[in-house]
Amino acid sequence: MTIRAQRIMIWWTLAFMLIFGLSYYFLIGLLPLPPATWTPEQVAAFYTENATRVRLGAMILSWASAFPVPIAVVIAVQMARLEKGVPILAILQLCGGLMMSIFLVLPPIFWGIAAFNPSRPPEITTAIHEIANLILVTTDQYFIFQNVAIAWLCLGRVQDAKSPFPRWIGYLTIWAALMFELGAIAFLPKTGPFAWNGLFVFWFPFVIFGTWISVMSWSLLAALTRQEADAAS
Amino acid sequence: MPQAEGLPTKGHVPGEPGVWVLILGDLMVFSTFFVMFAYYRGLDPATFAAGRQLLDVRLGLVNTLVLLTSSLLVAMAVHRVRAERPGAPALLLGAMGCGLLFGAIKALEYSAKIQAGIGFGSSTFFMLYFAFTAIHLLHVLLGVGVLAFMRGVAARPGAAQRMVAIESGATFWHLVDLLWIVLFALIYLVG
Repeated sequence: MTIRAQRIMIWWTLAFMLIFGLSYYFLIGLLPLPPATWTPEQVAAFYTENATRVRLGAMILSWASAFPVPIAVVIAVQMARLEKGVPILAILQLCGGLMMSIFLVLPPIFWGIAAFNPSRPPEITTAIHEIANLILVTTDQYFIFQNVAIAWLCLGRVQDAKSPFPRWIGYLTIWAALMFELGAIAFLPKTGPFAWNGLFVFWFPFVIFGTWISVMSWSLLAALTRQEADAAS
Repeated sequence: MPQAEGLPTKGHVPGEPGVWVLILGDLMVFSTFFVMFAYYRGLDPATFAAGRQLLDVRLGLVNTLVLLTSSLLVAMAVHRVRAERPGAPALLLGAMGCGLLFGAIKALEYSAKIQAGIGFGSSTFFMLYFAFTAIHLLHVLLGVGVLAFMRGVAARPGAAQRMVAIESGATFWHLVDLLWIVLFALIYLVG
């Protein structure tokens, strides 16, 4: 029964992640983020022209943007299975996973607020726009706890054949954690590869996050199948 | 990097296969950076040449030698652990010292730049210089932690049975060294 629930939660995350991607691309329309050098007038014009679309996107993402939560719970349950005594790594991972979802929740809200009343002075709309974009790309605070906990378990704890945490996933997770740290650099430049729309700040974390969560989901689903077969026999 | 004697040559992947996920991932990112550096340099060769003039090639060269020495010490330590001869922990401690020395020299270099009024925003050249030498420095510090772990393994009896852990750590450290050599050539010499 619990295996079925875990499977549903993984697909819940994946489905909501897809909704996030589609709404972000087609409705919010800021994928990739526009140049950080846009003038307040350009920013205000964007939100004026696309007000309805952006607000509709914000509405849908009010339902779907916390998508990392279910998978963080499944990862925690699977980690706790392998830990002896108090599952401290599972708890750290869950805290990190839950908290980092907040930074996926906030940008759509601020985009929606920017589009809510775009006839306000352009400077104010620009400030809201900047809050949204910088929250999206610079927030590495909690990733690191989730990733270190997972890597620690992959590399430091005894695994069994039913574990979804092979050692190479530990190394993949360390690499992903290192790459996410680049996002914070977006506070410094407005152009180039470290600007908020740059290769190292926007595209790498975006692609690596997608890859990491897909690999993790695949490994969890495969492990659940093994656990199910084991429980049946 | 010197090859230790007695290393099985056929189909031997140093360390555990999983560590190569991290290493190839890092190589991919740094390769992208190298291409990007060349691209931006092509757009504005004058700024890059001027930027390079402001770098202290001597400090860069010293740091290159420091890291090459550390890699030699690590390779010697691996060899000693495999041959079950003593001295590996001391060699690894020496390599850790090199890593910390590298960090200290880098800090010196950064503070000299900042005192001269050169920062991240000075030019595209310095943005790339600061960003990627800092990311590399993060790797060095992480690597010193890895060396400390290797030293712990090497100091315990039966370390030769844990060659996979020793080799994985050594592979990571050689990566850190390799990336610096390319960074040094690209930023300090070609710039």
